[in-house]
Amino acid sequence: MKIKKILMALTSTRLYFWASLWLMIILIIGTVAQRELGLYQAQLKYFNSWFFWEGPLPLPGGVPTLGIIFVGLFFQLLFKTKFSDKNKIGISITHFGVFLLLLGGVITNFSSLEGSMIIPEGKSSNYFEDYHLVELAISAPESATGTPASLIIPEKQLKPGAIFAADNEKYSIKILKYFKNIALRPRGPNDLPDQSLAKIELNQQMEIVSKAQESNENDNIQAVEFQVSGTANDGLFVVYKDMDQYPTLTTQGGAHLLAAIRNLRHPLPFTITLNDFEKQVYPSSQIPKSFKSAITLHDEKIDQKIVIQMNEPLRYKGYTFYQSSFSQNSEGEITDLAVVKNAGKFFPYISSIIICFGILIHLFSIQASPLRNKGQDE
Amino acid sequence: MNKFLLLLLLSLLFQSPNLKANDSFDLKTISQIPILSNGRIKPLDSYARINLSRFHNKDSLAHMSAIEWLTEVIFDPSSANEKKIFRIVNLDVLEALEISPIAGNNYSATELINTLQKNSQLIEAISNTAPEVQTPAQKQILDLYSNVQLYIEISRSFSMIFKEFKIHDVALAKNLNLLPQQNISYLDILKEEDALKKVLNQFIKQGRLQNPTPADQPLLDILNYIDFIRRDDHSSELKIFPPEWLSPWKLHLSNPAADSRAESFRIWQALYEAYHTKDFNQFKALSLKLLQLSQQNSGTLASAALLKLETHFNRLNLFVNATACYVLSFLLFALSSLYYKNILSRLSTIALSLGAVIHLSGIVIRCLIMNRAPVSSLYESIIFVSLIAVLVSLFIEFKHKNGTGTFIGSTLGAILLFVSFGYEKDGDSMGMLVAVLDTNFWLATHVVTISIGYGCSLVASLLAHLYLFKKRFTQKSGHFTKSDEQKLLKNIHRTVLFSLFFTVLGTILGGIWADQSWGRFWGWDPKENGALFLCLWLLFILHGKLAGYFKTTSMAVATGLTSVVVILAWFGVNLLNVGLHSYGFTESIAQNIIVFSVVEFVILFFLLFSFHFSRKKVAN
Repeated sequence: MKIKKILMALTSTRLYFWASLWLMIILIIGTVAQRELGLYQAQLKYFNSWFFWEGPLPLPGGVPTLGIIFVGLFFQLLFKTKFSDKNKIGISITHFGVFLLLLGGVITNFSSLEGSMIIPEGKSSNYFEDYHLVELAISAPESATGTPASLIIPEKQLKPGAIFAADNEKYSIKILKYFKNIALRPRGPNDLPDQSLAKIELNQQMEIVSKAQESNENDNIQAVEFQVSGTANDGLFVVYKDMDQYPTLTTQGGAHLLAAIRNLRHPLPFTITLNDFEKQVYPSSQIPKSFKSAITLHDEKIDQKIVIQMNEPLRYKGYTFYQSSFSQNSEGEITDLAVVKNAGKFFPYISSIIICFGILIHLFSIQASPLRNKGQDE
Repeated sequence: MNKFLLLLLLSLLFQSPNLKANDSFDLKTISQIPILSNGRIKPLDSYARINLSRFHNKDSLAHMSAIEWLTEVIFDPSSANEKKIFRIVNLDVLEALEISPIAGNNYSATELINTLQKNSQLIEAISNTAPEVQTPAQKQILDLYSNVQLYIEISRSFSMIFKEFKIHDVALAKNLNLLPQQNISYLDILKEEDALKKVLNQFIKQGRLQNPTPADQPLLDILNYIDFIRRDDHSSELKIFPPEWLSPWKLHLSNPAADSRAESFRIWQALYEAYHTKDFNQFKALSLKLLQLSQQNSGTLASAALLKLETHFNRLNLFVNATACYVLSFLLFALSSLYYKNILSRLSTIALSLGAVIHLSGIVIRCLIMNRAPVSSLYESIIFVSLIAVLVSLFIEFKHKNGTGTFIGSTLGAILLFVSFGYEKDGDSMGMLVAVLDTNFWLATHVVTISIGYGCSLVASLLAHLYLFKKRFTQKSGHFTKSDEQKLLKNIHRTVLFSLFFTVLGTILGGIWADQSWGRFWGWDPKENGALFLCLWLLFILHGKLAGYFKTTSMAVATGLTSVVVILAWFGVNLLNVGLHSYGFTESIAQNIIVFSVVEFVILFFLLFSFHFSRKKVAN
């Protein structure tokens, strides 16, 4: 009985009233904070969090706030809503639509993968890179997803003390330290030689220091200190993202492996080749008119030519490829495709129709009914 | 009586600037000549207005229309250079460039060209710094520099035909087959290229190139002049020669064969002559010929009808006239409470409707010219939202016929259109859209629906204000009966529901658009958060009422605050996007938003508390 009471309390309009007020407050705080923290960090701190600290105060974040609204709506639909009540049918339908929209959000949050696929003209790729997460990859150069000798360690497992061993080549590495962002600093001539490995590896010239995360998360430089054993050149190593030259490990079997930090790679079950990239601008201006990638999709037996452009993505095997951006270097153009896999994709489409239908019915039903008493409660 | 007033009104509104008598140039035809600029083929008139606004912040000068100004710039730059058209208001800029401030804040090209040359080191230093760290004044200096550069480029478009050079040496003139002591142009000299070459060869052979005597000065002057004019050959701003849309210089350098482009170049030359000899009839005839030829050459690219429509649109100032109607409607409405209630309130509604028709036709014409949905920039969203607010108010007025709608519509229409004028001066208000925005379907659905949502929300908010004021100030005197109150409350409730419908639909459509284009339905982007904020706020009002937290006045106060929410979602979010690099312009927007919000809070909470206390008094 008690449980039912709690559940009924969750369905109350009053609870929604306060939850939505709080949601608006964190919406404002979180949006303003984007200016300083950057979009992603602010999103993590305020909207995707259980709670956040404002000074010494822990305050509920977006997850519990939206959670209360979602659960309350669910039980309201389950216990309280009578779809037979003609006066409230519009509201009931709207509530159902909102529930579907939120459900889609939950599914998307847990199931979706997104990242970018960067292919130079004439080249192919069978993976895409995560926007946010990185990985420590010890692999042969040019090998995209790894050979038996490789060790690919995702960011989540880069914890001090963790040990990873490669099956075939009988070497192992031990993570000593992981930095979310670092700065490089030249060492002064009077600094005492330090035995910390970071400094050894950087030729005693430079040292790395931990740094607060940047507002543009792509500006973060992640770094790992680790110890290698079982190779021909065992020792302490440090790597950081986009360093000039990543260290090489030589295995007992004589294979040369590169230790690098790079964006987490999600393998795709097929390959895409960029045949041609085309950019158009409006005549006599720099305003871009359209971007186009002419690609070939290679799957088991298929070799299909496809064009991806703005507002015309490629959908294949649950993945969607969007023309997102491009860059150019001396060798030619490089396309940047956004890749998304999302099981909750169709919820907004369905729920928007239901919500609008519901509000319209409600509008017409109050239009048709004569003046009703004010201050009506449930 | 009504009809007479209406006619008077119409004639007042549509009095276009008097057509020019025969003692000046008829520029009507020339203003329709197509030009390609910023990705769009537009009439010369629009080009003139856009550039004049860019320099002057206004699309006309005191005694000159934009097209008159442009004609002078391209045909008679030495006069145009003296016109004070560059507007500099920031004292820091004047100080940095060591210009002494003058009344009116306008400076001529001649003044600025010298000043900028003197400060070239400063300008180079500024342009080498990162945009994020530049101060507003530094940015404005760079803007000024590029504006002056642009001006020079436009003014040198036809420099090859300027008749401004004289050969004083009779013998030399004779050798070159040219007339001495007469104004000739670069092209005139070039026509005698062979003769010039001959003279030059002799000059070089005799070894006078190394040791020129004073007698050789006339020849050297010619060479210098040729060199001086040739420096303009990069000028490519004035793209008026279809079908390739070449500028005069590019056309000249491409050596057009005896085709229609060469023909139109010759007409421009003749036009230049007619301009300087003040042959008004010839000028008119030539410009007509030129227009026909340009349209013929540009083929289907530039629709003659649309170009004509655009020049008319520029001249009619539809939005200014609509504003005038709204202001008039408001005044009539205010007067109607004192005199001739029936007639004046009827007239007030008529003025509002007339304004709406003018307003609507303005938006329709813009859609026709741009061939796209009405809303794609902040400026366009303001004129669209104000139209929606007026239409919703008219709907309310036609249903209830009690003046409420007229009051709301005229107030919102006039205020919003006034605000929009501030944005129009930003330059080309009909720019092309970047790739991702260039989809008519989504523009037509998402942006339009959300704008309708904004418009309805503003109406709801103003209705709530009206309710509060009426209740506070006229209920005791019996002017605001219980049934009036009920009616108004019902109206507010419905308008809130309408707003909710459109904002929710618009927000979800926006998400779907994002999903279609980038693969993410929701990204907590400031613009999305703004729209969500408005949705949540409207839901908050409705559920607050349902939960019993909001009774009549408190609900009206909450609905009244919707205006603040709309302004924050609509403008405030843009400020966030601008981020650190804010110009003085956006800083003033931020200030306006803060002032507006504070005023709204003060008014609404004052009303709320005054009700609270008066109720207590009654209880005692």
